[in-house]
Amino acid sequence: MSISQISILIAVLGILVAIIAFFWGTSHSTKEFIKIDNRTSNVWKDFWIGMILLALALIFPAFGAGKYLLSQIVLFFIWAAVVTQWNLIFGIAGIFTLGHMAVFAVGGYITSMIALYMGWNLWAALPVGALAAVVFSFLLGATIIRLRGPYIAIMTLAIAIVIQKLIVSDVDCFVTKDLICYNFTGGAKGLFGYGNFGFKELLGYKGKIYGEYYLSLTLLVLSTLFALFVIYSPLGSTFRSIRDNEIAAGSRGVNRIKYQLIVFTVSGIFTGLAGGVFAGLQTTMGPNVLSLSLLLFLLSMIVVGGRGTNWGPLIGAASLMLADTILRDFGQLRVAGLSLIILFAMIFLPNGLIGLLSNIFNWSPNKKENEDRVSIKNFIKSDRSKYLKRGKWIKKFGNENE
Amino acid sequence: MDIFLQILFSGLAVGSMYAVGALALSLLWGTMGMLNLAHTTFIALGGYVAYFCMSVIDASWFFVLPLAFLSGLVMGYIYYHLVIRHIYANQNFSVNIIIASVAIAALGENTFLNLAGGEALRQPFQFTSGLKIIGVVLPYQTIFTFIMVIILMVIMALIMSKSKLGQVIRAVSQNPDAAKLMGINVQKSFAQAMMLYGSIAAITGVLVTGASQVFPSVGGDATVKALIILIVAGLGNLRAGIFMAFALGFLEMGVNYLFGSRYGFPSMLGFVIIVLLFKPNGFFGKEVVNRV
Repeated sequence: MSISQISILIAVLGILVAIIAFFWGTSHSTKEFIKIDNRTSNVWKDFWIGMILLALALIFPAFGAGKYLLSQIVLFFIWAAVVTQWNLIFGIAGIFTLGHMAVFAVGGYITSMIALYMGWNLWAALPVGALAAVVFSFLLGATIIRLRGPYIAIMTLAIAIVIQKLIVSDVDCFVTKDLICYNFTGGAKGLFGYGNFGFKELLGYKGKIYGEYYLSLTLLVLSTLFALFVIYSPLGSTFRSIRDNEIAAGSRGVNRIKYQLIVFTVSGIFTGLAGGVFAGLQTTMGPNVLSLSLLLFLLSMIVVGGRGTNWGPLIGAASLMLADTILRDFGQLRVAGLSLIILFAMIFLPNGLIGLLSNIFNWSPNKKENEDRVSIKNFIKSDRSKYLKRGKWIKKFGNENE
Repeated sequence: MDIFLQILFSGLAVGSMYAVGALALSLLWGTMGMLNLAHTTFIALGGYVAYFCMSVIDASWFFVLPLAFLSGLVMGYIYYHLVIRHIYANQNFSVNIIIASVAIAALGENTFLNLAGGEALRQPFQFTSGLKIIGVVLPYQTIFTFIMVIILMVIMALIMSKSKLGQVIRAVSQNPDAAKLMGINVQKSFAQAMMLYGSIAAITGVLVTGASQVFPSVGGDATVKALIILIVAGLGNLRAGIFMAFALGFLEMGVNYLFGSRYGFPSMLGFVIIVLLFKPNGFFGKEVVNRV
């Protein structure tokens, strides 16, 4: 990837960030969201952000970007789709699952297995894979139904690791073709040879990448729309209420177990679809989608972007993909760089990039001072101050007319 | 009879491995309420220190344990002051530290990969032969690890109950604010607990890698297993944790021998999930009452 391409990428992302920040204006961190629940205006803000991003993404290939850049963006779309769904559980509902990549893997594996063993077209196999992922996600939610906070993180991580181990250690022959043994799950090699989405036949060799681009873009748009729909629906409010205060939510009649299962089911749909699309575009499906480094990569997208925010995962995914393309040149040090990024974000940006942006745009040089002065003025003007000696208070806190 | 003894011995080996991991990890849960996934880094550190000491600079085996102890101490100190302290200051510590420690684990694995290479190295601090009982070999390494678990447990129990450090750590873990009012430096005592943990974990690393080989991701599985053992036993209950480590070690090895080594870990996890569905606070854990 040449320097000019990187600079174009940086410029485009910078413009995106600036536009988002402009529309964010009086943004909210997660906590303030509850305080100022002015839903309708937020919906319109999100609508315009989404429209602008969509327009930019739609015309982007027309600028004559290279094949490598486009394929990186395709990956970005897929990871962003996964991360927006993960954010529903992780950020909105506050259930700290680390097993989301297992849901993704189930979607991809089932899609490719159905295409491989039953000879289905990949397009037809996609919904079945998504359905399997939904079922798996529901079961994943059900296994940890009575656990809390850190327990959930450890147990879901263990489940993901066990699934990876089971796939890698699969050595039994399921099909034997030409004396070569093929495992049921593909083993450590992974599954291959199940066809693709047929863009080559449809659009020719050169147009193939554009087909992949718009397919993954469609996936991302649908999954973002779905996530926003969930966030703004009463369901989203329920999830947030459980996250913020489980006991208070419970005493208002919110059934935690029911909604925990619902959020796992709901977020499984597009994760599974993303898995299927990933399998179809990569044309191989291996156990490395369950590796620790990929988990860390996607997790850092959520953490860096901002947990529980509407656009945080998307911004996180964009910035992490950018960081990854730069880190790729350093080869072995890539994972170390990623983990340093996640640590820096955890320590210095507890609310993520979105939190940073909203802090920058809400910052004013003498805001705090103004607030203090106003409150003292209000106190002096309040009814109670009539009974106090006015002069004494003014001496203590400074002149009223200052 | 043969297979029974075989299961018993290998169960003893992995059980003591899990127990020694659970021992170190429960110390951190007791003080800071922290589940440390970066335990794998400390295990690898112990293994590489032993390898460095005996194979690279050809020192005597006598220096291995003290050197591992020291390096774990330093590592714990650095880990606390660079990462944990800052995350403790933010909200939601118990979950954030898991994310951060996953990152630390990946960072450590990558560092060892770059420094020492990815291939598995033979760790020289080990006993090669074994005791023969009715045709089944009980390696001396297993006996040694088992004895070391007991010694470490006794040392830790003594430190926690008798020494001033232990008193301070217990006071801080019960109520950090009250401890602060009594003039205890909370940060310092956390750092001390972390250093104690680090040294125990690095010694664990020497023991664990002696039974296998040393490579960058050597402690990954053992860490996750030790953590789920702690969870299923009920966090904060050290004796139950040790018991559960051996019980699950026997279960895993039994399944390994009877059904094939693929199914050991999955069956263990399945057992844990079923237990946690009925007793979410663990097998021996007490119900925690949340007061509003």
